[in-house]
Amino acid sequence: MTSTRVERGDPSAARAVSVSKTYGSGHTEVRALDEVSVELAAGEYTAIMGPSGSGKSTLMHCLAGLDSVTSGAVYIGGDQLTGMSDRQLTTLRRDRVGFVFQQFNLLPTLSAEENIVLPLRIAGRPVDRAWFDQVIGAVGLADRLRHRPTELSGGQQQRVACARALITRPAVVFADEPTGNLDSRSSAEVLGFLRRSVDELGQSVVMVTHEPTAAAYADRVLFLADGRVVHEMTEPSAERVLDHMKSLDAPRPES
Amino acid sequence: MLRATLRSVLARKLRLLLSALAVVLGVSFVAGALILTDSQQRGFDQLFATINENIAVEVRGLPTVGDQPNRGMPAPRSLVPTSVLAAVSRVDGVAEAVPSVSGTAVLIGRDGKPRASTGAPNIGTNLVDSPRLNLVHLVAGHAPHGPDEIAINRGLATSSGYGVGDTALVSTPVGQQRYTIVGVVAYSGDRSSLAGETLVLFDTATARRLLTADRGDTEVVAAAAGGVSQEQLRNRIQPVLPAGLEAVTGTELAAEQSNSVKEALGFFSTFLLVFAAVALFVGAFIIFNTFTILIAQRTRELALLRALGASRRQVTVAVVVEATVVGLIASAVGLGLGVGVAYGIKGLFNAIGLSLPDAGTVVQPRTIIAAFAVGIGVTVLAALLPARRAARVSPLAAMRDAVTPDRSLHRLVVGGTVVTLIGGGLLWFGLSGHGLSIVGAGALVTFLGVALLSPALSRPVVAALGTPLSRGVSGQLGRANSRRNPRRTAATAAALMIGIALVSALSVLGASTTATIAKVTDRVMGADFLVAGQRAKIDPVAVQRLRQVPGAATVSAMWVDRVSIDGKASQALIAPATALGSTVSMTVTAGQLAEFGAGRLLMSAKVADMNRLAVGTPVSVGFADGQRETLRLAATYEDNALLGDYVLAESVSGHLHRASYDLVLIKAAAGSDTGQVGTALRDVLAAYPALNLQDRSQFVAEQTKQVDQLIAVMNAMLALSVGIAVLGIVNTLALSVLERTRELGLLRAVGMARRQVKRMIRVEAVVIALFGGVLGLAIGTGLGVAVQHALAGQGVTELSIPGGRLLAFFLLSGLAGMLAAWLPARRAARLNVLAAVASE
Repeated sequence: MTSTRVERGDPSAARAVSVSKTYGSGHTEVRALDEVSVELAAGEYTAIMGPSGSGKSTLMHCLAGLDSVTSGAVYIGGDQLTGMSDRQLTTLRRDRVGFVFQQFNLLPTLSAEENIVLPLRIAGRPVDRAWFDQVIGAVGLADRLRHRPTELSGGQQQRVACARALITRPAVVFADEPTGNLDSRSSAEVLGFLRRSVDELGQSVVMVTHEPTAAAYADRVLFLADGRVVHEMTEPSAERVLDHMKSLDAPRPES
Repeated sequence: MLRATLRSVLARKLRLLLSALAVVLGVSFVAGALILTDSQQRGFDQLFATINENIAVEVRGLPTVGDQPNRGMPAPRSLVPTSVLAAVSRVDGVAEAVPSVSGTAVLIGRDGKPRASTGAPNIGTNLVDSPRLNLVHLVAGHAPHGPDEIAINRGLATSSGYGVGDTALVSTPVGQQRYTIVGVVAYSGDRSSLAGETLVLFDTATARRLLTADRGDTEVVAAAAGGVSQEQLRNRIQPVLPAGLEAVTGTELAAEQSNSVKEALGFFSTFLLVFAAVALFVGAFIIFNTFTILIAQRTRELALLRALGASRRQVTVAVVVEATVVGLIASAVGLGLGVGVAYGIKGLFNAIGLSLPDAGTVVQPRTIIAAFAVGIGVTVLAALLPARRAARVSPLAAMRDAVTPDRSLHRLVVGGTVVTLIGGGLLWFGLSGHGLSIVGAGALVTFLGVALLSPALSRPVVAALGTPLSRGVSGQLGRANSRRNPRRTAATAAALMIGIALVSALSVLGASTTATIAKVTDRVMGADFLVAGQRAKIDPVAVQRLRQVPGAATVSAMWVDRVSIDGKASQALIAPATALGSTVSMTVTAGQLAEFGAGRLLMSAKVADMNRLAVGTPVSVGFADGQRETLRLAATYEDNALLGDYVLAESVSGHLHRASYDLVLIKAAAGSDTGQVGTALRDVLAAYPALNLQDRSQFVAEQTKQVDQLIAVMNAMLALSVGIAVLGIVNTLALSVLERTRELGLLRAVGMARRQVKRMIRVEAVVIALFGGVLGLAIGTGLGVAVQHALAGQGVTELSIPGGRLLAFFLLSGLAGMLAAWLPARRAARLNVLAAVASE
């Protein structure tokens, strides 16, 4: 990649500058994101919240290079995503971004370990055993590595997905409703792991969620409504988040 | 329910299209074969009706050596003495009678090569001055008169580039001569030729001299005076004929000719239908697979229907109706394409010089019924099992995530083994002399059995085949995907297996036959050189000149003629005694070769044993002139490719209206330079463009050429089934790609490049295809060896396994996989990552 790469420790892991995203045109136009500017600090755990249709998932997809923006600019570390070709975006996703999806999205033909190192295999890079062991230790899967996804519980599968997201030491991990399909105990395991990956492994995590308890694990919560960032909360607790969410939900002038 | 089904067909029309294509191709072949046969039949019926239009009665000799045509040659008849013409002319009610003399005459083109096509005959005949009874009429110039003039048909004029005023060399049984072309003729209806044949016309006296050695006419044809029916005239003519001649009406004649064509066309039609059956059999696998995959993908939908109260029966019926609709559409399209197939094959015939009469396109009701019955039948039959499976979907599946547990392959292994054994048994039974159709059924059942076994075979075989391809993550994932659903992989591969098995079996059989011919020919060929005509006969003058070549120690001129042996029609070689044991190597099993000569014959030991004839036994031999002679069996010999079943001495030649030879074998003198002798022989033959000189190895190669060509044609036809199997792979991959949308999205999300995705799909396709290829090669080689073994008694004694060709088939299956992966891989690589990740 030709653009300048900012050294680790750069205060921003990902950045959106006046990002707008519209679907359709004319009177059917839907504005999913409206001049959104956010900066997600490195080494921080950020949660994005908002009611359905607020644009929170769209924002994350744009930040992760999965979706294109209508206007504005998106950066991962020091690299500007807007204007990149598909090939450049693919490489960027491979090397600099980690993903955790709601549907665990593991390959059924591969074992847990093979799923975890898949991004490295795709890139053709060697596995850093020390880092691998550290990640596995953190997710607590050391004794499950040879199992196939179908032989793992939902929580275990999602932890495999988390480990896969971290294996490349990405600039930022994007988690899209990672606990949406899990019971509360498994949710706590996964969220705890994401927390530890920030505290102990020094990773940056951005998580979209609609659960206040999940958001309470984050350092900072961004609230979106109608495609705009409407509030920001640091050191959140489940109660404060819930209260704010109620205030967002209650008076809605139009749909 | 019906409406829901039709909707579902429409919604999946693209997915069903590919599988339907297999049925379309099969049906188009069935329809094409029938349409072509019917159209040609009508064409020939019309043709024979028109050309025999004015012939009321034909007088001809009775068949002399059995009335059954043998190996495509019409039964020989005795000639009509020239005096008969006058007798017939005098019969009351005969308006006109003319002689017809015909034989072989080959025109040599400007390039010095004989204008002889592969399929159609080269006819020499006489042109009489009767507009009514001549089959042809002049379109340019005038009729030939005297010994140096000929006319030719317009077809020949076009192909040779000769016209009125040109001179051309023509080879006839008594020799070759340069003639002046004075006329060009066409048939009634302005046809240039009937079926690609060439026609050289002489005046009657010349034709008699050249073609029947002045022994008589081939036929006498008569036109009736007004008011006299064909039957009346025939009944009046028959009494004036000497013994050994018969009179037939023009109508009978046309029917006879038409029937002989019908037989040939029927054989051809069967040939095409066999290939159509293979194509449909392969197509059935694809339909089966497509419906199975579609039903697996629709488990939730079907479960929902069941939860809403649909009965099992209704679900089954829904799937069967869906199959019927697909079959109906495929049959209609296939029927339409069949017309194209018929035209295509006709074009192919034209290309090899066998032009067929043009009579439009005949689509009989039978063709339409057959097309729809076959198309719908195959589709519904193939969809029946998936339909039953669909009915077994429990209503609960609607609530659960549709993860189908890996069903045990145990039952398939047991069933597959049983079916394979039954198939093997049928093959063995068929091959041990119970007919080709049982062999075919055995092969079919064996294919089914192996197809049932193939899911169990797929895991280890696919693992082994995939290993060299599984470099890198794409390769590994591709290989893993191909092992993921053994049933699907196996059913897809089975379609290819059938095609590859058939081409391999044919290749083994072809190579074995070729090896046998080569060995047998080489063993019996005692001569250094062989002269044979391309359609043309070798005249005595040419033989004389060959004898004079220095170094040509033994020159044996011989020919094959139709005779009857103890009343049974057969062929005999008429050869000089000096050839035996010299230019023709042979092993005598009983009797003395020295005994051979006038009044004696030789017989192969096999035929002699079969007829319980001992050396010295008298044998009654009938000849083309209707005469019989009693010859004594002088000796018997081991099977000999050059000698055939019977050898007669030249003393019988008076009975056979022959003044020419079919082949001349030449042995160089001991110690002479064979190369020099060959050059000298070639110099002599330079004056005879219609004759070819071959040395030993060329002759051996020539003998095997026909087998090679036949195998090539059949392999080309079977390529169709391989093509259908490729469609099947495309279909399976396309459906798998659809099924794995989310997985593909994930791979792209975590950084897999499009190129890598494509490679992953390609590896999967190649592994499936190679699996089919390996199964096919194994079965095919086994089948080929078994058939060779079974035919060993009928002469195919050598087993030859063409390793290079089989390897090529293996590589070809891999290539087929690559080809099949093209579109699905493109589609997979172009998936919208976001949509794919989010998809259910």
